[in-house]
Amino acid sequence: MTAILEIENLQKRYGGITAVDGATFGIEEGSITGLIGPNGAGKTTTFNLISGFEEPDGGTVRFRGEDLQDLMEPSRDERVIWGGASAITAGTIGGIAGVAGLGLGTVGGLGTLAVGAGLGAGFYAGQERVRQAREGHTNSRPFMLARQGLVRTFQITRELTEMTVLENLMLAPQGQAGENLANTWLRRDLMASEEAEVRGQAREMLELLELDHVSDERAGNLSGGQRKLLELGRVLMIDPEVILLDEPVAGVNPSLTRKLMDRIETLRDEGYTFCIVEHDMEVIMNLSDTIVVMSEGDVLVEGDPEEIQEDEAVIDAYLGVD
Amino acid sequence: MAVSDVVVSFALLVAIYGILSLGLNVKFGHTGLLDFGHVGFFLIGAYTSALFVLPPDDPADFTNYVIGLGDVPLVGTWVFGIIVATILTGVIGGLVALPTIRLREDYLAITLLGISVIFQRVVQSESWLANGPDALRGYSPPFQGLFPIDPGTVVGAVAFALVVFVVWAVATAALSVQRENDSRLPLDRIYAVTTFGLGTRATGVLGSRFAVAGVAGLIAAVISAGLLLAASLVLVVGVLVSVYGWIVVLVAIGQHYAGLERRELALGVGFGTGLLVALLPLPLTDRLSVSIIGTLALLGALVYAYYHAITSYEWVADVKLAVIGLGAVWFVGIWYVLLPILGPLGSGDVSGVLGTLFRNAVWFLQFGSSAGIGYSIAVIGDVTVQLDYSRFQLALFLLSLGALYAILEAAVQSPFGRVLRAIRNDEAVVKSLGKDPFVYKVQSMVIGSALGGFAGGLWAMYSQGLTFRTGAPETTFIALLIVFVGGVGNNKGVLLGAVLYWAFQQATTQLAGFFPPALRVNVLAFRLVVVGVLFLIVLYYMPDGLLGREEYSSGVGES
Repeated sequence: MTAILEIENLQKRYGGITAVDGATFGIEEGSITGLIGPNGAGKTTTFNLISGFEEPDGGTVRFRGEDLQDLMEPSRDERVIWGGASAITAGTIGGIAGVAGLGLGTVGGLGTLAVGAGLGAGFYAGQERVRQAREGHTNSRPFMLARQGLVRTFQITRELTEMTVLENLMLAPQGQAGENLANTWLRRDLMASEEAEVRGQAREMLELLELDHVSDERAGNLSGGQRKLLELGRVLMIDPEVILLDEPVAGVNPSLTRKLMDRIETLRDEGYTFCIVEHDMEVIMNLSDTIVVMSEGDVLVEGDPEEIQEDEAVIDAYLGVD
Repeated sequence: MAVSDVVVSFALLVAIYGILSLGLNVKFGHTGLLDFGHVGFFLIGAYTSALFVLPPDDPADFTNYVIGLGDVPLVGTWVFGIIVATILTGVIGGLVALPTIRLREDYLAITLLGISVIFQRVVQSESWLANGPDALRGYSPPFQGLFPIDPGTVVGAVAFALVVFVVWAVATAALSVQRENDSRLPLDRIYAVTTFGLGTRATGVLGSRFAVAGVAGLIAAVISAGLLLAASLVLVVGVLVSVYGWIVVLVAIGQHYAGLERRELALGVGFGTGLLVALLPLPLTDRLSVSIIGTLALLGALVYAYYHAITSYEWVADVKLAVIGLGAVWFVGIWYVLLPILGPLGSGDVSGVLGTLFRNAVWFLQFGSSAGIGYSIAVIGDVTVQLDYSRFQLALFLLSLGALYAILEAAVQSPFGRVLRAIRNDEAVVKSLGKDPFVYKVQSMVIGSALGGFAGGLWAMYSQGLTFRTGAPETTFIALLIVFVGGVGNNKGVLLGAVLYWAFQQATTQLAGFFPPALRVNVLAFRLVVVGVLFLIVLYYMPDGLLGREEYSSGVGES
């Protein structure tokens, strides 16, 4: 098995506090990795850094061998918008300068307009290249990671409170044709069939999470545990490769927790990779293939559950003595 | 003024502000981008389309502006001008979005307000650009030269048919909705007739009932054009269309208040009557202090009675909005229909009364006599029957509003609209789900600004002159008020908000007519204060507006 995520010497400081200080570990493909540690050990910060929501002050994260920063380069849409805007602006200036400044007439004006537009687009492409070549440039585009199969949930659940539970799930699948504005007008048939399919998937997911009875409720009306479930369902709808779960079963009742654990194990067997932060030791010990214990921003110990449970340092720092 | 003329001029403004507010609703209501500078795009749209239809400037005539393509065929027309204005404002909206869109909501609002003021200053102070600081005039609305039109000619028949098409399609669409809510009235039969037998059977073939309405409108237009050309039956067509319109309106009102009990109806009528009584001192005494104080006192008493009733009695509180609505309908009925009749009736002018009644009933047409005065139908031989330009303009504006509304609804009732609403709700979630909020926000700004530009083009057409008042920041806040009153993120609510706002404006303008001219200006200016207070009341008591946020389940693809 190979490490799908390699975290190397990761650093993150907030003011005087060093939240993550040289953490180094790997996450095996198709495994469940538990990330535990006392409060303030830097687990959630590590999650933020791995999922691209925050930029590291040092160190690297590799996803499938590629640096996260490279994976978070601007999307094609973004390049089109900025490049187009530069071309339009410079083209307009060129056209006005050609007609009003140089007195070139219509044809000449169109010529200077084209030259200006070309220069504008070229300027955009050039500055992109310079920016990428510069040492230490950072990109923060977590959505680029989600598109490539690295998704996360939040410790404090973030539901789209004003939207229904069903809509929360239907938002998640990637590359829906109806998300393209032109398709909403021109390809309504395609959109409708795809929408029906996505709706079916979402209903299945709700059934699985036992949320089907609240599917048309606003997500803001759900209880804390239900929100956890919804958030888990949402990332599963994306059909990712690596799923980072931040306290997925906090506030979920025992029988459903059992079910979720089974589900996660099944998904692991299907080839999904999980990294889980959780304070429920029963869950983490039963579920994890590997456990990484963090303390004060660094990795304390790494090993399988049996080793971790007997490790003196871990008992001192986190587990305590029964 | 006959009620029909009031309604037409009112509907024109509703259409303009409806489109403008729909644009703001895309930005603010759906995506959560608070744009205090929305009027900037309205301004650019208005000036751009006006500059396209204006003839070249003439310094000898003290006009100085760029473009001026009015003499060029095709390019110098309103259609072309408005299309260019819409695209241009869309592009500018996108460009403005790029540097600003990352700002937090309140900073974004202030920045965009600043940008709109820059636009306004540039247009006003650059003398070469658009005749600043003087007004930009000298153009006329499209096809106005053809009016008053003779429906007997081909051009006249086509123009007439266009108006018939719009009115008929709108009325039929409304009727098809009403038909589903009510089985007591013979609406099915009326519907079968007015859709020329297409009725419910063709719904499956044509896709939706709105397509049926469109086809019915088309058939009605063709038939009326034929009637005009073959037999010049102007009056017949006018009467048919008018009566159809009245039926739909009356059924709509009846249906809307059908659920009320007798005492609730009485309360609504009482409220409307109370409003009338409160206004009585104005025409009755010439002593200004007495009439104003009397009216204000009576109005205050009415408002207090209403407030007391809704806070003390539960059954009144349940229908608090219906009471106001019914009172307003009652008031409008008496004010515009009954009172104009009572005046001539008192002086024994029976034919005048009949004339007024007929003009109100046949609102589709305008009547003038060869003598130029009087509207008597007793001498029908002398009366000229006209399709007034305002009716034609009404058709154009309603067509624009309907088309843009449909296009916009298609865009937001989709996965695209779902992403926009998710961004408004929580941007971080959208990011975690692999969608780029930046791209969606820019698109939202482009659509919203383009709608603002289109509305500006219609405004240039309607106002026939752009002055330093065009594009004043308060226009944005009127649009924002409309959005808030109707329901944030609810396109239907925005249209309702536009109707309510202009109903308020219309009512207060009428009220100001009672005051001597010197005071009238102050009364009209005071309206802005009242609008501000109403804004606060709406925000405080109904933060979600009258219709609230629309529950989009994204009905697309629902089996």
